[in-house]
Amino acid sequence: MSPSAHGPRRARVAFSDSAAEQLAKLGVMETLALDRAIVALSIDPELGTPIPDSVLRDYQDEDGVRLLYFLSALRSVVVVAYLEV
Amino acid sequence: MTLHAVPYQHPARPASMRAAAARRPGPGRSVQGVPQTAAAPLRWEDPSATQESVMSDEAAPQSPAPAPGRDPLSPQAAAGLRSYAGRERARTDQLAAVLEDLALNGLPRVEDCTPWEELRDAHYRRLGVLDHGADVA
Repeated sequence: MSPSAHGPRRARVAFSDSAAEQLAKLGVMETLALDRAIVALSIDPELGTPIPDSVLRDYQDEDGVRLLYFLSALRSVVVVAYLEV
Repeated sequence: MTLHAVPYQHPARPASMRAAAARRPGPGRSVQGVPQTAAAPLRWEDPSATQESVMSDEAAPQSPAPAPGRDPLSPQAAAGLRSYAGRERARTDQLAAVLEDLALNGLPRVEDCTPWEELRDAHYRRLGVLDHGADVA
């Protein structure tokens, strides 16, 4: 919806239902930290370490954010399946 | 005489036993709504047994004599570790549950997922801090 005109092309990020439910527990600072991690992933969706023999990746940043995600078939969407902040 | 009984009773027994076995939860499984397992060793049905099993699960609390070669912790420090262990366990359980669900049911479809921006803005609105869709990056 919002114009993504600036910078390199970013992947979109979407949450599974269970990941979306996890969001409810987060406070402001945690949500900000999560957002930073998501921005990083949207810029480089391959940042996360592949979970062996699966399509999932495990991304952890220095703020204590952890995201389990996979990429859509066209690699244009990062789907977050699990999060920790 | 038992030899006579076996050919007649045997065919019926395996089926019913298999059904009962299927209903019986495996180790570590939840036992919601399974009243017929009264004979099974449900340690949490007996209040005194509950306490013991919980304790043995999380190491002996405030043991007056620490293991040889170990420095004892204060009760607060021990309680802090136990509480941390509990949180870590809960976290890992949740992570494992998500992975198991994906393994069992497959990946969610992208079109069934919710865009982050939408979730984020709704969440900030709930928290009362939304600055009209400000792009925090």
